[in-house]
Amino acid sequence: MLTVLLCDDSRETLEKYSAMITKSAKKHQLEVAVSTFESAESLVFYLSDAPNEADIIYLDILMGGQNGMDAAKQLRRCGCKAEIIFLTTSGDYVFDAFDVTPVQYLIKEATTAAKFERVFLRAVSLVKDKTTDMFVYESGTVRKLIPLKSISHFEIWRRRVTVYCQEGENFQYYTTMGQLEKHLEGKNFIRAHRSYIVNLQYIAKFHAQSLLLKSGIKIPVGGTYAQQLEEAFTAYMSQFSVYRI
Amino acid sequence: MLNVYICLSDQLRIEKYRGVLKSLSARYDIKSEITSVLSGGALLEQLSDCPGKADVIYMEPFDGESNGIETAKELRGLGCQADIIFLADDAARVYDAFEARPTQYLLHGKTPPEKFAGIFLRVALAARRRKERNSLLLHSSGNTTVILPFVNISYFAINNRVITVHYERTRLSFYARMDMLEHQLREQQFVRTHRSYLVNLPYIAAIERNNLLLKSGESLPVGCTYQAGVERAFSLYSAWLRKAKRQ
Repeated sequence: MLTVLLCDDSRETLEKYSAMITKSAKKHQLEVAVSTFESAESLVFYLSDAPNEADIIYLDILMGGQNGMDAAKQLRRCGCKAEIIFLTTSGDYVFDAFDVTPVQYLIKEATTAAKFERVFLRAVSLVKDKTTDMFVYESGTVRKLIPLKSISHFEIWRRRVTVYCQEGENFQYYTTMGQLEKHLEGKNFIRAHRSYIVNLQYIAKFHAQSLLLKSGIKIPVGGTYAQQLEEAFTAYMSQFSVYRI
Repeated sequence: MLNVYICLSDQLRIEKYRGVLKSLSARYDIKSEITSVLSGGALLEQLSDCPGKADVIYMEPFDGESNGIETAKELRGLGCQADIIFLADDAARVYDAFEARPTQYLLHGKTPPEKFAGIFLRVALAARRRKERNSLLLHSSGNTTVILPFVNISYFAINNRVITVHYERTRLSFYARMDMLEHQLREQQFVRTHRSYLVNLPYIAAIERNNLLLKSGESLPVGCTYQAGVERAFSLYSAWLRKAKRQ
């Protein structure tokens, strides 16, 4: 589900582009939730508590109150990483736009429906690239997402998995070890023990039969897994500049 | 080492920008290596084997013959994550430029030196931080191997031949020689502040006479012979950070 927000002071514009987005989404079998905002202030207010609520944001620039460029800068300062597309009548702000790394700066009158769709699809693909860094799991009937980089390790007992996160919050859900391993393939995670899968980025110390993670937690290393752990770790290290002391 | 590439079709312009970048690097004590090429094709040749080599690329969006924006997109496709700064004669290509995800699009002769400097310092800082995140200290003894990213190390302390690494709220000690350590850390932002201390510059809050204050609140002594050097490194680094801050 892609969350798309549109912000423009003209209701007509909001309706027009909402319809275009919904149409493109349907055509390409994408699930989208479109929300509209009539002022930059209301958009910023909405996102200030949850800056990552939005995947794609279409922003007009000249609106009655706060201008869209300032709003975009404010959102970036709050940690909003959404794909921003400026949709405006004026080219005056194009040079300022680079500071907020938008997908595109579109001039309304110069943008055909085909071009609008192309830019939309490019934004969608950028969002998809980002989400491969998320870990998705089912808790009850709810689908939950956590950034992979915030997970230090997984502990599995029978079919119950405990996900240990950097921020201290841990989550539990049910799945098989096989499914979990498959889920984490190619993502810097390695099985260290019958019951543990570890994030390579969190290893602080290696001992003969255990690992110490940055969080201070000690993980045992099972005999059968020691070699693949070492190999995975060596491969992982090759991307770094390593200074041996 | 900051790897800067300049790709412009006009040799005179290349020399002009090379001069500006060299002077900025000297002023802020940033070690830069500047490579220049005259065409997009040459740039691709330089970087196709190792797209990660470049930290910053100054290039034209269009040089009358070839399309720099397409070259930039090709570089992105190869995995190049350098900061790309377009230098153009006019705004003709600005709307097309976004697809290459550049950091900036500047106009020749219309960009105030302060703005140009601010952008360079910002990208230099970002490149430095990327390198820090990618650099690790590895120490093995017996069956134990310790992995420490430099970015997490606040300082090294030496007592006889025992080096103690201070990071986060813990520390680790091992046998090594301080001068060897200093040699290896020259690329990182560690500055020798005392016979017995090597401190990570971003962790310093303030320098006083004979001691320095870390952001953690800890106070470390500064040796007389090192005082001037530390003050200079710290003030240049602070100036760098200030100028790089977004306006």
